[in-house]
Amino acid sequence: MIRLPRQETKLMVAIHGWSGIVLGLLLYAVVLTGMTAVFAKEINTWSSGHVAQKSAFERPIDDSLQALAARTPAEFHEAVDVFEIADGNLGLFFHLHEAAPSGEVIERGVYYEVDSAGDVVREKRGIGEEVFGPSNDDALSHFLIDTHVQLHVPEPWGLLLTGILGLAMLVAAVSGLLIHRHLFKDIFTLRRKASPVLVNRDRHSVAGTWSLPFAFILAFTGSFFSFYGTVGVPIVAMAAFGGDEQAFDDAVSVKPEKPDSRPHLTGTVNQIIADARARTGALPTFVLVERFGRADAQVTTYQDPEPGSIEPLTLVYNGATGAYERTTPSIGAKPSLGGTLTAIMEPLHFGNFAGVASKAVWYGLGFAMCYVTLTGLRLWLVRRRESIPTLAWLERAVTVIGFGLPLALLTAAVGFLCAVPLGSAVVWTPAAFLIGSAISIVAGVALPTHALLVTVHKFAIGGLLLGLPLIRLATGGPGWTSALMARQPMIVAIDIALILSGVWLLIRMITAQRSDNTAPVSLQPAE
Amino acid sequence: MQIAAIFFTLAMLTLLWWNDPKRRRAEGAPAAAQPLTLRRVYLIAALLPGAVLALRSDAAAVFVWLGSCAIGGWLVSQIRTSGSDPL
Repeated sequence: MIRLPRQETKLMVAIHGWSGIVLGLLLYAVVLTGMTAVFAKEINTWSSGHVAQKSAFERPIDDSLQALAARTPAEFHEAVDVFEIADGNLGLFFHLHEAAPSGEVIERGVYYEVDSAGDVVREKRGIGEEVFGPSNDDALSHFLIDTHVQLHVPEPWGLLLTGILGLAMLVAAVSGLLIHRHLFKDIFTLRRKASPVLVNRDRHSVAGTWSLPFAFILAFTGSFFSFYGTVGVPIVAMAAFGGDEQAFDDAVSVKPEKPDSRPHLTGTVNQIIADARARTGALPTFVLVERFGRADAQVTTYQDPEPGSIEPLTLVYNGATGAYERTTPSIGAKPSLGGTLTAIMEPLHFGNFAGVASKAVWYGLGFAMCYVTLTGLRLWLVRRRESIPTLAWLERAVTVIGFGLPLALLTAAVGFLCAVPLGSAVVWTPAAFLIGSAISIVAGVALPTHALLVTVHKFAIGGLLLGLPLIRLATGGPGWTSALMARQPMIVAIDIALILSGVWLLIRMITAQRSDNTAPVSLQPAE
Repeated sequence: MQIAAIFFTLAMLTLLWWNDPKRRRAEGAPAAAQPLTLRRVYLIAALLPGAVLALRSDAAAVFVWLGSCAIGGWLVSQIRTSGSDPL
C-alpha cells in the first residue's frame, strides 16, 4: 500500500486518466494485435494450411547457397541471411551494408525464396524493408505483426508512435500503482451489484493488479524495440562515433583479427547447423554467413534459449572450416550485463522462450491487458456520463474500437483465407480488414442504442470465430486428419480454440438476452 | 514440476479468494471463518513454488509460473458465488 499526499494523488489520477483516454485506443490496438502476434508463426501455419513436416534447416542448404551465390553479384556476398519461411521454404538474402542519406545503416541485395525441392520460387532486389514484404502465403501474419509494430505508419514514425504508446503504458502502470491505496486488499473484490462506476473500477483494478508485473515488462521491452533503432543507436552513434552507425556496429560486433579476402568455397553450413543442433538440442532460428566465399568467412547461428533459460544463444563458427569457435553474447565480444539484458528483451516481449506454454501465457496476459485498457476507458467515461452527456460519441468510439478491432481482424482472416487460392492475399487481407472496420464504424453511427451496438458486434465476432475453421476447410485448407498425419497439431488446436471461443461468446450473449427478456420490468427514477 | 507448481499456487490463491474478507463483505457472505494467520500461511505457500523454481535457476519456469498465476488469480477473482448478479 502506497500513501501519497492528497494533492499528489489527484495529480496521479489525472495523469493516469488522461494518458489513458488520449492514447488508450491506440494502445489497445497495439496490445490486441501484439497478443495475436504472439502466435504469428502458428497462425501462419494454420491460415496457409502448411503441412510441411521438415524444417528448412533439416534439409541440406549448401547446394542452394552455392548455386544462388553463383548468380548473385559478388558485391552482395558481404553477408547472407538464411532463415525459414512459410511451408518450410528457405529465405536467403545476399546483401551488403551501406549508409542511407540519413546515416542509418541499411542492407541492400538480392532476396531468394527456395522451396523444399530446391527451386527458386521468388527473387527480389532491393533494401531490407522492400524485399521482406508480405507474400501470398504469409500476408495475414505479416499484417498482424506490421499493425503491432508500427500501426502501418511509415518508418520511423510508426516505431516512434508505438514506442510512445509503450511509455504511456508504463506511465499508466506506475501511476495506477501509486493511486491504488489497497492494491492487495482489493485483489479479489468485484462488486457486481454496486454503481456502474464501482463495477467498472473493480473490473479495471483487479485485472490491472494481477497483470501489473507484466504490464511493466511488456511496456518496457516494447518501447525498447521501438526506440532501439530509431533513437538509441543514432544517439550512441552521434555521441561516440560522430554519427557513423557503421562504426558503432563494428565496435559492438566481433570482426576477424586479420581480414583474409582470398577466395574459399564456403560449403560448411550443413555441418555447422548439425553441430549447433548437437550443442543446443535445437535447430537454429536464423543463420548469418558473413564474407561468403572468403577465407575469413564466419557463420553465426542464432538459437532459441536452452530449457530453463530465457537467454537465446549465439554460436560463432569459422565459415571456411566449419569449426566451432565460441558462444558469444548478442552485443559485444565478452559477456556483460548489458548484453544479457539486450538478449532477453525479445523472449520477454514475445514470450517465445518455452515453446507453446510460454506463448499461451503471454497471450493470456495480453488479453488481460486489453481488458484493463478497455475497462479503464469505460471507467473514465462512466465517471463523466452524468456531468458531460455529450461524451456519448466517445463511448460509441470506444465500443467500435474495442469490439470493432477484433471483428476487423477476423474479417481480415476471412479475406486472407478466401484470397490465398487466388494468389491475391497481399491485397485482400488489409482490404478485408478495412471492410470489417468500415462495417463496424457504420454500425457505430447508425445503430440507435449503445447496447444494440455491443450486441451486434459480439454476435458478429462469435459468428466469425465459429465460421473461420469452416471457411478454412472450404477454401482448401487441410482437414484435421491430414493435419495430424502431417504432424501439425497446431492447425487443429487453433480450430478448436476458435470454435470454443465462438461458442462461449454466443452462449454468453444468448444467456444475457434471455435473462434480459425474463427480467421483471422496473421503472427507472427518470420514468 | 512446473505444472505442479502452478496448480499448487492456484489452489492457494483459491483458498485466499474464498477467505478474502473484503470480497465476502462485498458479496454479502458471512465473514471469513479463518484467521489472518492462516491466510498469511496460504499467501506464503502460494509464493513458495516460485521460490523453489528460482532456486533451481529455472528462469523460464519462473516466468511461466508467474504469468500463469497472474492469469489464474484474475480468473479465480471472476468466480461468482451464489447470490451475486451476472455481469
